[in-house]
Amino acid sequence: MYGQRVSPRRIVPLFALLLVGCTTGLEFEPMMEAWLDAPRCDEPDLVRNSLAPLRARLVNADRAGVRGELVQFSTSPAEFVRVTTQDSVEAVNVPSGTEWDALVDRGEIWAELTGGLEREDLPVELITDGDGAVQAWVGVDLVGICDAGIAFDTATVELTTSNTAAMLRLNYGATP
Amino acid sequence: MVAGVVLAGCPTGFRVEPPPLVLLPACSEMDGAAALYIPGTVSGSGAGARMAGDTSRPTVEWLVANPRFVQLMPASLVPEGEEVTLDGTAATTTGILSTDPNVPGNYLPTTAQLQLEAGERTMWARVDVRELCGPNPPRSDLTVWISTRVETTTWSLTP
Repeated sequence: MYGQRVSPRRIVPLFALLLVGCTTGLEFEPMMEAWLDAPRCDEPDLVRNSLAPLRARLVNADRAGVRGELVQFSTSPAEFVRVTTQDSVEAVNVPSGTEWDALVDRGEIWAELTGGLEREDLPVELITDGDGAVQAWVGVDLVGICDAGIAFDTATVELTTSNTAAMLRLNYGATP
Repeated sequence: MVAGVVLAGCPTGFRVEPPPLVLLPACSEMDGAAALYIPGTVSGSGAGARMAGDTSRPTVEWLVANPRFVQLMPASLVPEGEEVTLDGTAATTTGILSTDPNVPGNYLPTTAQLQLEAGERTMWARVDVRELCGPNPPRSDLTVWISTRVETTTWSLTP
């Protein structure tokens, strides 16, 4: 058996088995959970909107990334937590000057962010890439939360596909 | 041949190891300083960050969670000041206590997207000592999120 040449007829089912093995039992890899300062609504000058990265990776039973799956987002509290892409993140300005120009010329991106988002028509779904991943930003409108006076200690983003779900949780005012 | 099929069909994704947790000095030890600069190095491993034919290096994104207290500065911009030893999960980290005389353009980034060089990349976390030791100090760890395309890890600076 060992060292024996394998005929093309036997190779085909082996390929099929490997490919099937990479497409079943989907789940998200464990996602980040963060513990952050609670907004100080009694000190309005100190309240800034909050941004966090959202990275999620959909894998199969072999822990391989699954490409081309639709991932939908739902947030809570929905009125104040938004999912967006990088082109919607608002920056103060672009760095310039001798020290910065060399870095920017190398293709590096540096930005001072306001915490705000520039668009209202934000995406509610993305498609997984070749690594089975989606990349987005989470914007939490802490100014709006303080203005509304609602009880608030957690912002969540639930990710769902047709097969599975996962939660990104940002805890404000709590400790792990 | 079979191994090649397995690798192409099941990429693992590029991942990074964040810098170790750092304990910030007491405010009494930072009297007179405007900022504390802490070097943070991430190192990368794994595959799958690039598409076939793409020869670019993996990109890592930094984002500070508490921009009032922490900003990011390039490693090439060496701050002037006094070296200080910081405790943490690593043996020690050497930071720089600075009066901040020359922040270029007074520009204080809160996010950066950089390519790794030789599998790692260093940057300064700039802790604003005046805010940290002011009347409204942070009530939680200061977090810097470090993301690849597939995951986010956390670098914690503990007051």
